[in-house]
Amino acid sequence: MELMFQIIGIALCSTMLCLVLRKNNPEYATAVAILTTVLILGMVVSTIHEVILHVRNLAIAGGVNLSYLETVFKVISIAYLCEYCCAVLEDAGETAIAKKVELAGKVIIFCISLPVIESLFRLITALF
Amino acid sequence: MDVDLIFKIAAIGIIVAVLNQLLVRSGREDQAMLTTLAGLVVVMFIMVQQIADLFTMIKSVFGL
Repeated sequence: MELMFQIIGIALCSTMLCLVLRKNNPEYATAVAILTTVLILGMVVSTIHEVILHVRNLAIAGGVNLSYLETVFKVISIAYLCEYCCAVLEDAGETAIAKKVELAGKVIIFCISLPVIESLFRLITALF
Repeated sequence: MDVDLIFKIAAIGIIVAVLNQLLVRSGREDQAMLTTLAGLVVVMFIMVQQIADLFTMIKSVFGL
């Protein structure tokens, strides 16, 4: 709960700072925005750490192949990072670069998840 | 990664804006641009370090 309050407080403070800086030096406003997003993302990710440990223990107990779980985690982190970067870039006005980063994220996620899809097909064809 | 860093960057930005205005008014526009660039370089150093820390943390949290 305190985490939510902290994050809201930080976000509101840096919004005001961004507004003050944007008139004279817009680049510093973008820098403040980037740093704020890095900070908030860091706080959220370190909270998720516990959840990930629990999920890993559940997967081991359930007998799931750990390499598939690693793939899922990779995809999740790529999605988070890609979304973060796209939002920051769009705010800075570089929509073209943001779209290309989004495309890169989609391509990388697809390439990473290819072995999983392959083994799924093998499993299905092995049934027949 | 502290909240103080955000305030530091904002303070650097405001100081650079004030110096910029001073130098432009007294006619030294090239020095004004150099000050802005120097401030930007400092800010970018701090930013790159924080982003690298974030990536290391994401790697360690997700166990990749």
